[in-house]
Amino acid sequence: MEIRSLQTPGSLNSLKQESVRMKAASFQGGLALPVPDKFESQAITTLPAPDRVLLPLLHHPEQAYELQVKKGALIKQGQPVGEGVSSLVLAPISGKVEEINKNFKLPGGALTTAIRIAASDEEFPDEAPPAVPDSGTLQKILGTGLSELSESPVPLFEKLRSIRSKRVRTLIINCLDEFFIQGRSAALASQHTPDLLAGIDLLVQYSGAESAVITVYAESAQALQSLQESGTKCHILPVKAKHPQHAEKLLVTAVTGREYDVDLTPEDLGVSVISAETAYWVSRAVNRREAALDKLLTVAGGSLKEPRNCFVRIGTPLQEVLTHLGQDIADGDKVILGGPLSGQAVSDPDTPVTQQTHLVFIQKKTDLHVFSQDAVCFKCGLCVQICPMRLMPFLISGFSEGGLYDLAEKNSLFTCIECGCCAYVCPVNIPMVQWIQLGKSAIRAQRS
Amino acid sequence: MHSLRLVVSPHPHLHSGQSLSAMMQQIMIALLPAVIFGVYLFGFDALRVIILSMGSAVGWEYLIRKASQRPGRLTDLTALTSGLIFAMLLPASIPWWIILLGTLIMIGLGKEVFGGFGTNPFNGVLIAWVVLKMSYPDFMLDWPAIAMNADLATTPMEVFKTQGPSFVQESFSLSEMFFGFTTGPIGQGSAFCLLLGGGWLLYKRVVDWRIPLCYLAGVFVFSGLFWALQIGSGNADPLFHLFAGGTMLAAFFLATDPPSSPTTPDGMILFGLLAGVLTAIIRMWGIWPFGACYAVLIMSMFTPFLDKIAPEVYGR
Ligand code: SF4
Ligand code: SF4
Repeated sequence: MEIRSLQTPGSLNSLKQESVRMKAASFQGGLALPVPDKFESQAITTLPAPDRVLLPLLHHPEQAYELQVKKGALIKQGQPVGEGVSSLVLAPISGKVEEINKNFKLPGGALTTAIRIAASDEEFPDEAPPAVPDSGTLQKILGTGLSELSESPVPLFEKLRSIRSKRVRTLIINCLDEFFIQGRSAALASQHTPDLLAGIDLLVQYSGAESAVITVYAESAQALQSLQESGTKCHILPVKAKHPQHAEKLLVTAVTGREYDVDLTPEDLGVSVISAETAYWVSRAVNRREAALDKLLTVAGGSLKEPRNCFVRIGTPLQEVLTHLGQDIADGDKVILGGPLSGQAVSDPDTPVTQQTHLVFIQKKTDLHVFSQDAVCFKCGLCVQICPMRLMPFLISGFSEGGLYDLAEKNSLFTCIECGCCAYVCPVNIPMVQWIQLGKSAIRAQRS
Repeated sequence: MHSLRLVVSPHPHLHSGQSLSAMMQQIMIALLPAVIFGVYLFGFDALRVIILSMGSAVGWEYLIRKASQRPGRLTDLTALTSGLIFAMLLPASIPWWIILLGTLIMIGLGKEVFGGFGTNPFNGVLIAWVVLKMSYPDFMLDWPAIAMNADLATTPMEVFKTQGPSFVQESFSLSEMFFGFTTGPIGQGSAFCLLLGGGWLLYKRVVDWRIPLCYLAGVFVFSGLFWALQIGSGNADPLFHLFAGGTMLAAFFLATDPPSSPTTPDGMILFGLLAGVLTAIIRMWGIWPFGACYAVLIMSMFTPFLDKIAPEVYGR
């Protein structure tokens, strides 16, 4: 057994010396992603702003927002409608506050307040360009961008503060998306390279880190090329296209070569993960005084031949996004927030795009996978071999199913990142992630 | 308010497409060369045993499930497949009622009392085989003579056990044993046919390489060591140990039985190696000539223990 030192970020120093590691970093287990035949990703499009937006106020589980507007109020695009300790929620469009729903249910099940704004142009003849509010301090500006990769997303400003206080030396800028090699972050890296790099420089500066590493799928030739030709000082790390390489733990391991237990964070290892889109918005906010009112989305599946990357106004109902892209949905289809392997299916097609919506995957009625509810594990061991966390998925899932939560936890239930690989390979279609989630929430409920 | 009814389910929303019944199908396909060769050697009698064994296995499973009021599981093809593997271990001359008894034990005692395929600690095929071997040794050793080797109605492994390795060399050539022109159970004589099938299973990834290859390595290295160093008398060529006595059948079709074999990569390697070594030990020093089946059965008792050799969890 190897005892891994968590103190010395030594491997990072050696990492800085070579500019591109020749062999793509990877991990044991996991699923190889389908590599698209052609590598030109389509240009990122911007969808028109919708007539109505729905704005749930709770993007961060820990931080409540104070409502800044009342029902019936007229507001300008970019005006704060909610304010937290270190972040703002900005109105994505100008218009009238139509409804304030105190019991809006987020896709995960949590309740929050949501504001519905209906566009009305007349009141704003001199429609101001989307601007970062003048009163906004740097703290608030950064608060509008999110770093969505941590398990419980924190406002960027908070994240930068903790990076500083924990003396993080390296920022990991993540250009990997779940499942799609030509996803939104790769498109951003190849089509908005200057903004991305400027944002990374600012983040390095604000956080007091020494350097940044950009992780890109080695198969994403365009993004790699754009980054390399830009002459950036950042280290570019190609990684093999495998699911779930985009997960924070595996990303940190790919960069540092080290692993960390559930009670540690990447910051304890001297690194921190920030998504490429966040860097992009930081540069837009600071250099062009533009607020992050749009969200960069990848839409894929259904009748779309290739994944489409587009900027969508925050608060737009998913249904509207899909209609714009010519993607119909019907009864019995699945709309998934996230990729087909670890995304979450939503019941309401009008679920709004939030800062945590990165990928929308459509599955037609005819393509649905059905789990078996009474299957018995026959110990083939396929799930053990595929698990990137090197767990015994059939054990933790079986223990959770049987209510033996202690045993599940003893077998490292909480190390599971719910990537879905185990249930993907199981020949008898056991819904393992379902049982694992049940086990985790039951244990959490017992503790609280 | 919204009229669209979307489907919601836990992730993942994709699946590899692998299924238990497809795996069982592949196993039966992989046994096809050995089945054809067995029928060629032993004629219609062999076909009779195979059909009876597969048919009765399915029948017993149906009846037991019905009687215990549980939903049928015949479509997963495990009963059919174990019926076929069981037939491979029987002599072609075996009376029909022994087959029926065997499959009842295989399905009932080997599988259904534990709740069905997956929860059984032992390979039902081997349980049934042991019971018959103990209860009806005469019927179970009654090998029909075959046309190519009419004067010798014993298996090479029995010759080895009763008369010694030098007699084996006189009676059988290695190629005869490799291709299977010897008498014995219906489907275990031809190492060649079984290797074809085993290769197919590895190629199709129905079976992980670790157990079969480590098993063969265990048999070969252990018996080869004694043979090369000439420790004691009565050592046979390690190739003999690979080709005779059902080694190939045990490696690819018995030791790899998922419920009774380990699930972890390291556990599989150890399981294979130890079962191989144990096979050689039983053959060399035991009183029984059929070490392969016993060794696999004994090793499956260690499976819960071997499963403890779990991979080192991420970050621990
Ligand atoms: S147990 Fe968890 S981490 Fe392992 S494969 Fe399954 S979902 Fe992924
Ligand atoms: S893949 Fe499914 S059947 Fe195989 S060991 Fe895992 S849970 Fe059991």
